[in-house]
Amino acid sequence: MSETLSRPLAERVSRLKSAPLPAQQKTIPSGAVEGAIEALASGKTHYTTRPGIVPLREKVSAHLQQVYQLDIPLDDITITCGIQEAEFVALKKLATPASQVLYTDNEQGAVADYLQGFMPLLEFTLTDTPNTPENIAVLYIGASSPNLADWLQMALTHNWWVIWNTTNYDASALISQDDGLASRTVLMGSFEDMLPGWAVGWMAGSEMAGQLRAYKQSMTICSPSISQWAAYGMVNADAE
Amino acid sequence: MLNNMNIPEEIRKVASDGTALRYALMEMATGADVIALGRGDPDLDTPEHIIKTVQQAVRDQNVPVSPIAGLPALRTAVAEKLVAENGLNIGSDNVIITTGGQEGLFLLMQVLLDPGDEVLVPDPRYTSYDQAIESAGAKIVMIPTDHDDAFNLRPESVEAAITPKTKALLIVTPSNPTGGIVTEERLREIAEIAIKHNLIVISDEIYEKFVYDDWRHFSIGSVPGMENRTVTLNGFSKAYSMTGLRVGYVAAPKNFISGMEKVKAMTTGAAAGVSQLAALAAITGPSEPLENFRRIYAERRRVMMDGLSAMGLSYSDPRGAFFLWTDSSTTGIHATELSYLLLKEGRVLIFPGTGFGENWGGYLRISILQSTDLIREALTRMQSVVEKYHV
Repeated sequence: MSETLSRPLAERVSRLKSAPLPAQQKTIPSGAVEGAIEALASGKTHYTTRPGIVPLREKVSAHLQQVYQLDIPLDDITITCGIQEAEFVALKKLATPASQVLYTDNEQGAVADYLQGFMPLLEFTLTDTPNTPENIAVLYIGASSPNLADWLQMALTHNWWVIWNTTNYDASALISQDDGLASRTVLMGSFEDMLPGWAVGWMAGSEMAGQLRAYKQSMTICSPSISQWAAYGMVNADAE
Repeated sequence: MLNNMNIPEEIRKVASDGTALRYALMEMATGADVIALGRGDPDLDTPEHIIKTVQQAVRDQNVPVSPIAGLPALRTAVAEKLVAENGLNIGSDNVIITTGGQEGLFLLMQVLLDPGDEVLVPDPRYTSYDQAIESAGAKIVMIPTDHDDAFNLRPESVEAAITPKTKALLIVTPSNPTGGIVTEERLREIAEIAIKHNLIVISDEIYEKFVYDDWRHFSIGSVPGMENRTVTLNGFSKAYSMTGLRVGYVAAPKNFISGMEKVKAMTTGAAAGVSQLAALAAITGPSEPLENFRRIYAERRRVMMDGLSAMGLSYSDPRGAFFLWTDSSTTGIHATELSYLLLKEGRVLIFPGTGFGENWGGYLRISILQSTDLIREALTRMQSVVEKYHV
């Protein structure tokens, strides 16, 4: 086969970053081993429901209640192919092309660097200062920030969407159930700190939850069944 | 046009969106007594050697973290398969492992299409292609196919639809939803057209293992001159009855694979390592399970064909895949309404033709992914509903 297609690739491809190297393999927690083996033995190798298996979504729901005091219905929780898919789906559906995404970053600028990777595909612009609040579509909470409380208040005032990556920033109860921001906040997390390479994470909440789930379904249908059961086995064993 | 005012709002509001319509019906199909002949999810067990291999790898703590493009051993095995079975001229660098076939299509469209491009798609179609194409800012252009031709793709229809904006032609063979195949003779003619008009051909071959009677699967990428203009999509879900593991693959020129790898890094990351181990066991394992699956599906197909004929319903010649594309127009009931009635009163889930394009209100897509006993029971239930509501 020749090296190249007979026609040029899409223009956006030339602006994409190179793929990263894989993470380090880790010891699989015993609960995950048991969960995966049992799922394989019992024939759980077929499509799961679009949102993901109920027991794992229940664990995510309990986590959100315990850590953030948020009551998010199971129907508004979707198990994703890792946090990468959750972030792409949320940014795709919440940030319109040419709208601004305001972000919190760490000192190394890792969040900005990461978000720039989406721009050839999603075409939003980035800012770390809310000078034009009316142009901002999404507040992306990617790292701790002394301004966060003020920015959340601005999000409420200006109807921004909020994406809260809990794997990087785990402050508790900044968004309360009753302040109106919960309906415009998408939380997301991952099981991949303990299960790298198993492609299992989650996204939860917001009045857009159904649309986010539908878009995820259009990309990957559902998340890998054995990974979901492994994650459930791991979390369940931890709880016991 | 829907006439039956009893159709619930959750169906009515999505009736013009094929994918949403199918999912709405699936969500209504709750209860153990429903016989599901809708979704293309094989009911058969994943072959035992795959299960055992993955279980052992998990026990041994031997589940790798995959590079974005897939485990090297799996990419190599896929390339070797495509060379040996499909006649492609490729190596492992021409392969990317995806999180199911559907993701392969999504990545493909992101890498291939610019806004304003047109993609030729046979009608009827698996409407989940739509979002992938439209997400890249491109437009779908339908190619008509018809019952009398067993939904084979006519080269002259393809050529008639080409405009200066046409960038690609999507071929699905065997076809979802029609069960038709595009024959080798036609594919060779279509290849000439693709070369003449400098088109990319996207060849979705996910059902290649299930072709019946004397029909044979043929890969257009094997035609001389097509190697730098064919993108081949396939996966493990249907062939090995492991839809939940989410492993597919794409074979294409290297610059294309490199582009897809970059998009995949930003959208879903690598396919799960544990799932890729299953795929590797599948593709390097014995062929007997596949042959057994094919024999079982062929038997079910015959039971379904006989039952539909006895009911007075005709269907397109099901040459491959898992589906009978059934002409329901003789019932006088719009397919969307008929599907709802079959589910509500017959407790049988069958997708209407409108789940695969707005022009197909006179067809049903009926899968054969249940045991022969359940297929017979489903046929009995269908008959009572059709007799009750026949116009």
